[in-house]
Amino acid sequence: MFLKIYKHSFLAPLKTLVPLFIANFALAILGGISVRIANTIEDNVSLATFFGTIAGLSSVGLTGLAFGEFVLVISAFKKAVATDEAYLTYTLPATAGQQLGARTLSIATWYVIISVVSIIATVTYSAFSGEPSFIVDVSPSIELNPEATWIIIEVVIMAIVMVASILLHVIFGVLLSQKLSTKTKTKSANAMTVIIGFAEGFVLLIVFITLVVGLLATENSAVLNASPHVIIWTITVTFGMLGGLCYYLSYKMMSRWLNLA
Amino acid sequence: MASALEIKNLNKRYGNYLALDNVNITINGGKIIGLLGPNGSGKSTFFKCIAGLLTYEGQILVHGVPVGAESKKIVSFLPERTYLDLNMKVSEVFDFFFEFYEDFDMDRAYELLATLGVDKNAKLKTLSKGTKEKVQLIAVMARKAGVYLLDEPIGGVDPAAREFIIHTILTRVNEGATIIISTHLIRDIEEILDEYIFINGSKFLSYGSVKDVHDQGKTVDEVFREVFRCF
Repeated sequence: MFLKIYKHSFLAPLKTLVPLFIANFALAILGGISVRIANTIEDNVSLATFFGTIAGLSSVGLTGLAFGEFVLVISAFKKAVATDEAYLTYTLPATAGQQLGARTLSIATWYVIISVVSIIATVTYSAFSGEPSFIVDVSPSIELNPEATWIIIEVVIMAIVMVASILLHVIFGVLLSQKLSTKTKTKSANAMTVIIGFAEGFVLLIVFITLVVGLLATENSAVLNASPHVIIWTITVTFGMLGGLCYYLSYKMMSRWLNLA
Repeated sequence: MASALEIKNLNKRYGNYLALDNVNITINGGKIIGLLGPNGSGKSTFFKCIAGLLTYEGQILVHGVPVGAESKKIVSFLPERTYLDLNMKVSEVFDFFFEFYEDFDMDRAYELLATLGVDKNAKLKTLSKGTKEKVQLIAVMARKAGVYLLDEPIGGVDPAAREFIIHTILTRVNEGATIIISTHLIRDIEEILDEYIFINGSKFLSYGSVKDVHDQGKTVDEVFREVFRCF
Protein backbone atom coordinates (compact mmCIF):
# COMPACT_ATOMS: atom_id res chain seq x y z
CA MET A 1 0.00 0.00 0.00
CA PHE A 2 2.92 2.30 0.82
CA LEU A 3 4.31 1.96 -2.71
CA LYS A 4 0.90 2.43 -4.32
CA ILE A 5 0.31 5.66 -2.42
CA TYR A 6 3.86 6.79 -3.17
CA LYS A 7 3.37 6.12 -6.88
CA HIS A 8 0.10 8.01 -7.07
CA SER A 9 1.24 10.97 -5.02
CA PHE A 10 4.44 11.15 -7.08
CA LEU A 11 2.58 11.02 -10.40
CA ALA A 12 -0.12 13.53 -9.37
CA PRO A 13 1.89 16.72 -10.18
CA LEU A 14 3.88 15.13 -13.03
CA LYS A 15 1.75 16.40 -15.92
CA THR A 16 2.08 19.97 -14.68
CA LEU A 17 5.75 19.79 -13.78
CA VAL A 18 7.13 18.37 -17.04
CA PRO A 19 6.21 21.49 -19.10
CA LEU A 20 7.72 23.63 -16.33
CA PHE A 21 10.97 21.64 -16.47
CA ILE A 22 11.06 22.22 -20.23
CA ALA A 23 10.48 25.92 -19.52
CA ASN A 24 13.44 25.79 -17.11
CA PHE A 25 15.79 24.68 -19.88
CA ALA A 26 14.28 27.01 -22.47
CA LEU A 27 14.79 29.91 -20.08
CA ALA A 28 18.33 28.76 -19.28
CA ILE A 29 19.22 28.61 -22.98
CA LEU A 30 17.57 31.98 -23.64
CA GLY A 31 19.41 33.56 -20.72
CA GLY A 32 22.74 32.02 -21.68
CA ILE A 33 22.46 33.10 -25.29
CA SER A 34 21.44 36.58 -24.18
CA VAL A 35 24.57 36.87 -22.05
CA ARG A 36 26.72 35.75 -24.98
CA ILE A 37 25.07 38.25 -27.35
CA ALA A 38 25.30 41.06 -24.79
CA ASN A 39 29.02 40.37 -24.42
CA THR A 40 29.64 40.38 -28.16
CA ILE A 41 27.81 43.63 -28.88
CA GLU A 42 29.17 45.76 -26.08
CA ASP A 43 29.57 48.65 -28.54
CA ASN A 44 25.85 48.88 -29.03
CA VAL A 45 24.71 49.94 -25.56
CA SER A 46 21.01 49.74 -26.28
CA LEU A 47 21.10 46.20 -27.61
CA ALA A 48 23.59 45.08 -24.96
CA THR A 49 21.27 46.47 -22.27
CA PHE A 50 18.30 44.75 -23.89
CA PHE A 51 19.99 41.33 -23.95
CA GLY A 52 21.49 41.92 -20.52
CA THR A 53 17.99 42.55 -19.19
CA ILE A 54 16.72 39.36 -20.81
CA ALA A 55 19.62 37.46 -19.24
CA GLY A 56 18.82 38.95 -15.83
CA LEU A 57 15.11 38.21 -16.13
CA SER A 58 15.94 34.65 -17.16
CA SER A 59 17.95 34.18 -13.98
CA VAL A 60 15.07 35.51 -11.90
CA GLY A 61 12.68 33.33 -13.90
CA LEU A 62 14.75 30.23 -13.18
CA THR A 63 14.58 30.91 -9.45
CA GLY A 64 10.85 31.64 -9.68
CA LEU A 65 10.21 28.45 -11.63
CA ALA A 66 12.02 26.32 -9.05
CA PHE A 67 9.96 27.92 -6.28
CA GLY A 68 6.74 27.54 -8.30
CA GLU A 69 7.46 23.90 -9.03
CA PHE A 70 7.88 23.18 -5.33
CA VAL A 71 4.65 25.04 -4.54
CA LEU A 72 2.88 22.85 -7.11
CA VAL A 73 4.16 19.70 -5.41
CA ILE A 74 2.91 20.96 -2.06
CA SER A 75 -0.41 21.96 -3.63
CA ALA A 76 -0.85 18.42 -4.96
CA PHE A 77 -0.27 17.12 -1.44
CA LYS A 78 -2.74 19.60 -0.03
CA LYS A 79 -5.31 18.66 -2.67
CA ALA A 80 -5.07 15.03 -1.60
CA VAL A 81 -5.32 15.58 2.15
CA ALA A 82 -7.18 18.84 2.68
CA THR A 83 -9.83 19.20 -0.02
CA ASP A 84 -12.84 17.05 -0.92
CA GLU A 85 -10.35 14.54 -2.37
CA ALA A 86 -9.40 13.79 1.22
CA TYR A 87 -12.63 11.77 1.43
CA LEU A 88 -11.05 9.36 -1.04
CA THR A 89 -7.55 9.62 0.42
CA TYR A 90 -8.64 8.76 3.93
CA THR A 91 -10.97 5.94 2.92
CA LEU A 92 -8.16 4.07 1.17
CA PRO A 93 -7.22 0.93 3.08
CA ALA A 94 -3.99 2.39 4.43
CA THR A 95 -2.70 3.34 7.85
CA ALA A 96 -1.88 6.93 8.77
CA GLY A 97 1.80 5.94 8.82
CA GLN A 98 1.63 4.62 5.25
CA GLN A 99 -0.24 7.70 4.06
CA LEU A 100 2.13 10.18 5.68
CA GLY A 101 5.32 8.24 4.97
CA ALA A 102 4.57 7.68 1.28
CA ARG A 103 3.46 11.25 0.69
CA THR A 104 6.43 12.69 2.56
CA LEU A 105 8.81 10.55 0.53
CA SER A 106 7.08 11.65 -2.67
CA ILE A 107 7.52 15.34 -1.77
CA ALA A 108 11.17 14.73 -0.87
CA THR A 109 11.72 12.96 -4.20
CA TRP A 110 10.24 15.89 -6.08
CA TYR A 111 12.37 18.29 -4.07
CA VAL A 112 15.50 16.42 -5.16
CA ILE A 113 14.33 16.31 -8.79
CA ILE A 114 13.50 20.04 -8.80
CA SER A 115 16.91 20.81 -7.27
CA VAL A 116 18.71 18.67 -9.87
CA VAL A 117 16.75 20.28 -12.71
CA SER A 118 17.60 23.72 -11.34
CA ILE A 119 21.30 22.87 -11.12
CA ILE A 120 21.35 21.45 -14.65
CA ALA A 121 19.48 24.53 -15.89
CA THR A 122 22.06 26.77 -14.22
CA VAL A 123 24.91 24.82 -15.80
CA THR A 124 23.10 25.05 -19.16
CA TYR A 125 22.75 28.80 -18.67
CA SER A 126 26.43 29.03 -17.97
CA ALA A 127 27.39 26.82 -20.93
CA PHE A 128 25.30 28.83 -23.41
CA SER A 129 26.65 32.10 -22.07
CA GLY A 130 30.11 31.08 -23.26
CA GLU A 131 31.61 31.94 -19.90
CA PRO A 132 33.43 29.27 -17.92
CA SER A 133 31.42 27.86 -15.10
CA PHE A 134 32.32 29.14 -11.67
CA ILE A 135 32.44 25.51 -10.54
CA VAL A 136 35.28 24.85 -12.99
CA ASP A 137 37.02 28.00 -11.75
CA VAL A 138 36.68 27.33 -8.06
CA SER A 139 37.09 23.57 -7.87
CA PRO A 140 40.85 23.31 -8.58
CA SER A 141 41.63 26.00 -5.98
CA ILE A 142 40.17 23.96 -3.13
CA GLU A 143 42.78 21.93 -1.32
CA LEU A 144 41.18 19.35 0.85
CA ASN A 145 42.87 18.01 3.94
CA PRO A 146 41.16 15.31 6.04
CA GLU A 147 39.82 17.88 8.52
CA ALA A 148 38.30 20.04 5.76
CA THR A 149 36.85 16.98 4.07
CA TRP A 150 35.16 15.91 7.30
CA ILE A 151 33.70 19.39 7.80
CA ILE A 152 32.36 19.41 4.25
CA ILE A 153 30.69 16.05 4.88
CA GLU A 154 29.19 17.38 8.11
CA VAL A 155 27.94 20.52 6.38
CA VAL A 156 26.33 18.41 3.65
CA ILE A 157 24.62 16.28 6.31
CA MET A 158 23.50 19.45 8.08
CA ALA A 159 22.11 20.87 4.83
CA ILE A 160 20.21 17.66 4.11
CA VAL A 161 18.74 17.57 7.62
CA MET A 162 17.79 21.26 7.41
CA VAL A 163 16.05 20.79 4.07
CA ALA A 164 14.28 17.65 5.32
CA SER A 165 13.21 19.52 8.45
CA ILE A 166 11.80 22.42 6.42
CA LEU A 167 9.92 19.96 4.18
CA LEU A 168 8.41 18.36 7.29
CA HIS A 169 7.46 21.83 8.52
CA VAL A 170 5.68 22.50 5.23
CA ILE A 171 3.82 19.17 5.46
CA PHE A 172 2.85 19.99 9.03
CA GLY A 173 1.68 23.40 7.82
CA VAL A 174 -0.54 21.78 5.19
CA LEU A 175 -2.18 19.47 7.71
CA LEU A 176 -2.54 22.28 10.21
CA SER A 177 -4.24 24.42 7.59
CA GLN A 178 -6.64 21.54 6.96
CA LYS A 179 -7.68 21.75 10.59
CA LEU A 180 -7.88 25.53 10.47
CA SER A 181 -9.72 25.81 7.17
CA THR A 182 -12.25 22.99 7.69
CA LYS A 183 -14.93 25.35 8.92
CA THR A 184 -14.21 28.40 6.84
CA LYS A 185 -13.41 26.56 3.61
CA THR A 186 -11.50 29.58 2.43
CA LYS A 187 -10.08 29.52 -1.05
CA SER A 188 -6.89 30.90 0.36
CA ALA A 189 -6.21 27.65 2.21
CA ASN A 190 -3.58 26.69 -0.37
CA ALA A 191 -1.73 29.95 0.00
CA MET A 192 -1.99 29.75 3.78
CA THR A 193 -0.44 26.30 3.72
CA VAL A 194 2.59 27.42 1.79
CA ILE A 195 2.92 30.56 3.88
CA ILE A 196 2.78 28.57 7.14
CA GLY A 197 5.38 26.12 5.92
CA PHE A 198 7.79 28.65 4.56
CA ALA A 199 7.26 31.05 7.44
CA GLU A 200 8.17 28.30 9.88
CA GLY A 201 11.26 27.41 7.91
CA PHE A 202 12.23 31.07 7.55
CA VAL A 203 11.75 31.81 11.24
CA LEU A 204 13.86 28.80 12.13
CA LEU A 205 16.65 29.97 9.89
CA ILE A 206 16.53 33.50 11.30
CA VAL A 207 16.56 32.17 14.86
CA PHE A 208 19.61 30.05 14.18
CA ILE A 209 21.48 32.73 12.28
CA THR A 210 20.76 35.22 15.07
CA LEU A 211 21.78 32.71 17.68
CA VAL A 212 25.04 31.80 16.01
CA VAL A 213 25.96 35.36 15.08
CA GLY A 214 24.97 36.61 18.53
CA LEU A 215 27.02 34.00 20.26
CA LEU A 216 29.99 34.59 18.01
CA ALA A 217 29.82 38.33 18.69
CA THR A 218 29.85 37.82 22.45
CA GLU A 219 33.24 38.14 24.03
CA ASN A 220 34.59 35.05 25.72
CA SER A 221 31.83 33.13 23.98
CA ALA A 222 32.16 29.41 24.26
CA VAL A 223 31.16 29.29 20.61
CA LEU A 224 34.34 31.13 19.64
CA ASN A 225 36.40 28.38 21.17
CA ALA A 226 34.12 25.56 20.23
CA SER A 227 35.04 23.17 17.51
CA PRO A 228 33.15 23.74 14.24
CA HIS A 229 32.03 20.13 14.54
CA VAL A 230 30.12 20.97 17.72
CA ILE A 231 28.40 23.94 16.09
CA ILE A 232 27.49 21.99 12.97
CA TRP A 233 26.16 19.02 14.90
CA THR A 234 24.23 21.25 17.31
CA ILE A 235 22.42 22.82 14.38
CA THR A 236 21.96 19.44 12.67
CA VAL A 237 20.52 17.73 15.75
CA THR A 238 18.25 20.69 16.58
CA PHE A 239 16.83 20.81 13.06
CA GLY A 240 16.50 17.04 13.09
CA MET A 241 14.55 17.13 16.34
CA LEU A 242 12.27 19.92 15.10
CA GLY A 243 11.64 18.01 11.88
CA GLY A 244 10.93 14.88 13.89
CA LEU A 245 8.48 16.77 16.06
CA CYS A 246 6.68 18.06 12.96
CA TYR A 247 6.48 14.52 11.56
CA TYR A 248 5.11 13.23 14.86
CA LEU A 249 2.48 15.98 15.03
CA SER A 250 1.58 15.40 11.37
CA TYR A 251 1.13 11.70 12.09
CA LYS A 252 -1.09 12.48 15.06
CA MET A 253 -3.12 14.82 12.92
CA MET A 254 -3.55 12.18 10.23
CA SER A 255 -4.58 9.47 12.65
CA ARG A 256 -6.10 10.67 15.91
CA TRP A 257 -7.16 14.19 15.09
CA LEU A 258 -8.66 13.44 11.70
CA ASN A 259 -11.92 15.34 11.36
CA LEU A 260 -13.42 15.77 7.93
CA ALA A 261 -16.50 17.65 8.98
CA MET B 1 -20.60 -15.06 12.07
CA ALA B 2 -19.99 -11.39 12.96
CA SER B 3 -22.68 -8.81 12.29
CA ALA B 4 -22.17 -6.43 9.39
CA LEU B 5 -22.06 -3.56 11.84
CA GLU B 6 -21.89 -3.58 15.60
CA ILE B 7 -21.94 -0.19 17.24
CA LYS B 8 -21.70 0.33 20.98
CA ASN B 9 -21.91 3.58 22.94
CA LEU B 10 -21.00 5.69 19.92
CA ASN B 11 -20.62 9.38 20.70
CA LYS B 12 -19.40 12.10 18.40
CA ARG B 13 -18.88 15.71 19.41
CA TYR B 14 -17.99 18.76 17.35
CA GLY B 15 -16.72 20.98 20.13
CA ASN B 16 -19.69 21.36 22.46
CA TYR B 17 -22.19 20.09 19.92
CA LEU B 18 -23.16 16.45 20.36
CA ALA B 19 -23.68 15.07 16.85
CA LEU B 20 -24.18 11.42 17.86
CA ASP B 21 -25.42 10.58 21.35
CA ASN B 22 -24.76 7.08 22.69
CA VAL B 23 -25.72 5.16 19.56
CA ASN B 24 -26.08 1.40 20.03
CA ILE B 25 -27.10 -0.72 17.08
CA THR B 26 -26.35 -4.09 15.49
CA ILE B 27 -27.00 -4.51 11.79
CA ASN B 28 -26.95 -7.91 10.14
CA GLY B 29 -25.71 -8.55 6.61
CA GLY B 30 -27.59 -8.82 3.33
CA LYS B 31 -29.99 -5.94 3.93
CA ILE B 32 -30.71 -2.61 2.31
CA ILE B 33 -31.28 -0.13 5.09
CA GLY B 34 -32.52 3.43 4.89
CA LEU B 35 -30.91 5.86 7.31
CA LEU B 36 -33.67 8.40 7.40
CA GLY B 37 -33.77 11.78 8.99
CA PRO B 38 -34.06 15.48 8.24
CA ASN B 39 -31.10 17.60 7.22
CA GLY B 40 -28.50 17.95 9.96
CA SER B 41 -29.77 14.94 11.87
CA GLY B 42 -26.37 13.23 12.06
CA LYS B 43 -26.63 10.87 9.06
CA SER B 44 -23.37 11.97 7.42
CA THR B 45 -21.55 12.00 10.76
CA PHE B 46 -22.67 8.42 11.37
CA PHE B 47 -21.32 7.35 7.97
CA LYS B 48 -18.05 9.21 8.40
CA CYS B 49 -17.43 7.48 11.72
CA ILE B 50 -17.90 4.06 10.10
CA ALA B 51 -15.81 5.04 7.05
CA GLY B 52 -12.93 6.11 9.29
CA LEU B 53 -13.12 9.80 8.43
CA LEU B 54 -13.92 10.99 11.93
CA THR B 55 -12.61 10.20 15.34
CA TYR B 56 -15.24 9.19 17.89
CA GLU B 57 -15.86 7.72 21.33
CA GLY B 58 -17.24 4.21 21.62
CA GLN B 59 -16.84 1.11 19.51
CA ILE B 60 -17.61 0.37 15.87
CA LEU B 61 -16.99 -3.09 14.46
CA VAL B 62 -17.40 -3.76 10.73
CA HIS B 63 -17.74 -7.52 10.22
CA GLY B 64 -15.99 -7.85 13.57
CA VAL B 65 -13.11 -5.54 12.58
CA PRO B 66 -12.52 -2.18 14.34
CA VAL B 67 -12.52 0.89 12.10
CA GLY B 68 -9.09 1.27 10.49
CA ALA B 69 -7.10 0.21 7.45
CA GLU B 70 -8.55 -3.32 7.58
CA SER B 71 -12.19 -2.21 7.83
CA LYS B 72 -11.69 0.18 4.91
CA LYS B 73 -11.04 -2.87 2.72
CA ILE B 74 -14.64 -3.96 3.24
CA VAL B 75 -16.43 -0.60 3.47
CA SER B 76 -17.36 1.22 0.29
CA PHE B 77 -18.32 4.81 1.02
CA LEU B 78 -20.08 7.26 -1.26
CA PRO B 79 -19.93 10.75 0.25
CA GLU B 80 -22.46 13.39 -0.68
CA ARG B 81 -19.80 15.41 -2.51
CA THR B 82 -17.57 14.68 -5.48
CA TYR B 83 -14.32 13.38 -4.06
CA LEU B 84 -12.57 12.37 -7.25
CA ASP B 85 -9.75 14.28 -8.96
CA LEU B 86 -11.63 16.13 -11.70
CA ASN B 87 -8.56 16.04 -13.94
CA MET B 88 -8.87 12.26 -14.14
CA LYS B 89 -10.49 10.42 -17.00
CA VAL B 90 -13.28 7.99 -16.14
CA SER B 91 -11.00 5.07 -17.02
CA GLU B 92 -8.31 6.47 -14.72
CA VAL B 93 -10.81 6.59 -11.87
CA PHE B 94 -11.57 2.91 -12.38
CA ASP B 95 -7.83 2.10 -12.65
CA PHE B 96 -7.29 3.94 -9.37
CA PHE B 97 -10.01 1.96 -7.59
CA PHE B 98 -8.75 -1.28 -9.14
CA GLU B 99 -5.26 -0.62 -7.83
CA PHE B 100 -6.27 0.29 -4.30
CA TYR B 101 -9.22 -1.99 -3.67
CA GLU B 102 -8.76 -5.71 -4.15
CA ASP B 103 -12.53 -6.16 -4.38
CA PHE B 104 -13.02 -3.76 -7.31
CA ASP B 105 -14.71 -5.46 -10.27
CA MET B 106 -13.51 -3.72 -13.43
CA ASP B 107 -15.91 -5.60 -15.74
CA ARG B 108 -18.83 -4.62 -13.56
CA ALA B 109 -17.71 -0.97 -13.60
CA TYR B 110 -17.54 -0.82 -17.40
CA GLU B 111 -20.82 -2.70 -17.68
CA LEU B 112 -22.52 -0.03 -15.58
CA LEU B 113 -20.71 2.72 -17.45
CA ALA B 114 -21.99 1.36 -20.74
CA THR B 115 -25.57 1.75 -19.54
CA LEU B 116 -24.76 5.39 -18.83
CA GLY B 117 -23.31 5.93 -22.28
CA VAL B 118 -20.35 7.87 -20.92
CA ASP B 119 -17.05 7.81 -22.81
CA LYS B 120 -14.41 6.14 -20.65
CA ASN B 121 -11.85 8.64 -21.96
CA ALA B 122 -13.91 11.64 -20.89
CA LYS B 123 -12.37 13.79 -18.19
CA LEU B 124 -14.52 14.17 -15.10
CA LYS B 125 -14.41 17.95 -15.30
CA THR B 126 -16.12 17.80 -18.70
CA LEU B 127 -19.07 15.83 -17.31
CA SER B 128 -22.22 17.29 -15.81
CA LYS B 129 -22.65 17.28 -12.03
CA GLY B 130 -25.18 14.46 -12.24
CA THR B 131 -22.98 12.32 -14.48
CA LYS B 132 -19.99 12.87 -12.21
CA GLU B 133 -22.10 11.62 -9.31
CA LYS B 134 -23.14 8.60 -11.31
CA VAL B 135 -19.53 7.76 -12.24
CA GLN B 136 -18.64 8.04 -8.57
CA LEU B 137 -21.53 5.76 -7.65
CA ILE B 138 -20.38 3.21 -10.24
CA ALA B 139 -16.86 3.23 -8.80
CA VAL B 140 -18.24 2.69 -5.31
CA MET B 141 -20.79 0.03 -6.27
CA ALA B 142 -18.36 -1.89 -8.52
CA ARG B 143 -16.54 -2.95 -5.38
CA LYS B 144 -17.54 -6.29 -3.87
CA ALA B 145 -17.60 -4.74 -0.42
CA GLY B 146 -19.21 -6.06 2.72
CA VAL B 147 -20.80 -2.74 3.65
CA TYR B 148 -21.83 0.10 1.34
CA LEU B 149 -22.47 3.51 2.83
CA LEU B 150 -24.31 5.77 0.40
CA ASP B 151 -24.73 9.32 1.64
CA GLU B 152 -27.60 11.07 -0.14
CA PRO B 153 -27.08 9.24 -3.45
CA ILE B 154 -30.33 10.55 -4.92
CA GLY B 155 -30.24 14.06 -3.54
CA GLY B 156 -30.04 16.74 -6.18
CA VAL B 157 -30.39 14.49 -9.25
CA ASP B 158 -33.20 14.29 -11.77
CA PRO B 159 -35.81 11.46 -11.68
CA ALA B 160 -34.12 9.57 -14.56
CA ALA B 161 -30.82 9.65 -12.69
CA ARG B 162 -32.59 8.45 -9.55
CA GLU B 163 -33.86 5.48 -11.49
CA PHE B 164 -30.33 4.65 -12.65
CA ILE B 165 -28.98 4.98 -9.12
CA ILE B 166 -31.68 2.81 -7.60
CA HIS B 167 -31.16 0.20 -10.34
CA THR B 168 -27.40 0.25 -9.65
CA ILE B 169 -27.99 -0.22 -5.94
CA LEU B 170 -30.45 -3.04 -6.50
CA THR B 171 -28.16 -4.94 -8.85
CA ARG B 172 -25.33 -5.05 -6.34
CA VAL B 173 -22.90 -7.82 -7.08
CA ASN B 174 -22.54 -9.57 -3.75
CA GLU B 175 -25.73 -10.77 -2.15
CA GLY B 176 -24.43 -10.85 1.41
CA ALA B 177 -23.57 -7.16 1.40
CA THR B 178 -25.25 -4.56 3.57
CA ILE B 179 -26.23 -1.28 1.96
CA ILE B 180 -27.07 1.72 4.11
CA ILE B 181 -28.58 4.65 2.24
CA SER B 182 -29.04 8.00 3.88
CA THR B 183 -31.71 10.24 2.45
CA HIS B 184 -34.71 12.35 3.26
CA LEU B 185 -36.34 11.44 -0.09
CA ILE B 186 -37.94 8.34 1.38
CA ARG B 187 -40.68 7.85 -1.19
CA ASP B 188 -38.12 7.35 -3.96
CA ILE B 189 -36.28 4.53 -2.26
CA GLU B 190 -38.88 2.95 -0.01
CA GLU B 191 -39.55 0.12 -2.45
CA ILE B 192 -35.97 -1.12 -2.26
CA LEU B 193 -35.52 -0.91 1.51
CA ASP B 194 -35.57 -3.93 3.82
CA GLU B 195 -35.13 -1.96 7.04
CA TYR B 196 -35.14 1.62 8.19
CA ILE B 197 -33.45 3.70 10.88
CA PHE B 198 -34.89 7.03 11.97
CA ILE B 199 -32.31 9.46 13.24
CA ASN B 200 -32.69 12.98 14.47
CA GLY B 201 -30.58 15.37 16.46
CA SER B 202 -27.97 12.76 17.33
CA LYS B 203 -30.51 10.21 18.61
CA PHE B 204 -31.47 6.97 16.91
CA LEU B 205 -35.23 7.07 17.30
CA SER B 206 -36.21 3.72 15.83
CA TYR B 207 -34.93 0.79 13.82
CA GLY B 208 -37.35 -1.60 12.18
CA SER B 209 -38.49 -3.65 9.25
CA VAL B 210 -40.11 -2.00 6.26
CA LYS B 211 -42.27 -5.07 5.80
CA ASP B 212 -43.71 -4.66 9.31
CA VAL B 213 -44.64 -1.08 8.49
CA HIS B 214 -46.29 -2.18 5.25
CA ASP B 215 -48.15 -4.96 7.12
CA GLN B 216 -49.68 -2.24 9.28
CA GLY B 217 -51.04 -0.66 6.11
CA LYS B 218 -48.63 2.28 6.25
CA THR B 219 -45.60 3.43 4.34
CA VAL B 220 -42.26 4.34 5.85
CA ASP B 221 -42.76 7.81 4.42
CA GLU B 222 -45.98 8.17 6.41
CA VAL B 223 -44.37 6.88 9.60
CA PHE B 224 -41.46 9.25 9.04
CA ARG B 225 -43.84 12.19 8.80
CA GLU B 226 -45.61 11.11 12.00
CA VAL B 227 -42.36 10.69 13.91
CA PHE B 228 -40.77 13.92 12.78
CA ARG B 229 -43.86 16.09 12.91
CA CYS B 230 -43.11 17.10 16.49
CA PHE B 231 -39.50 18.06 15.78
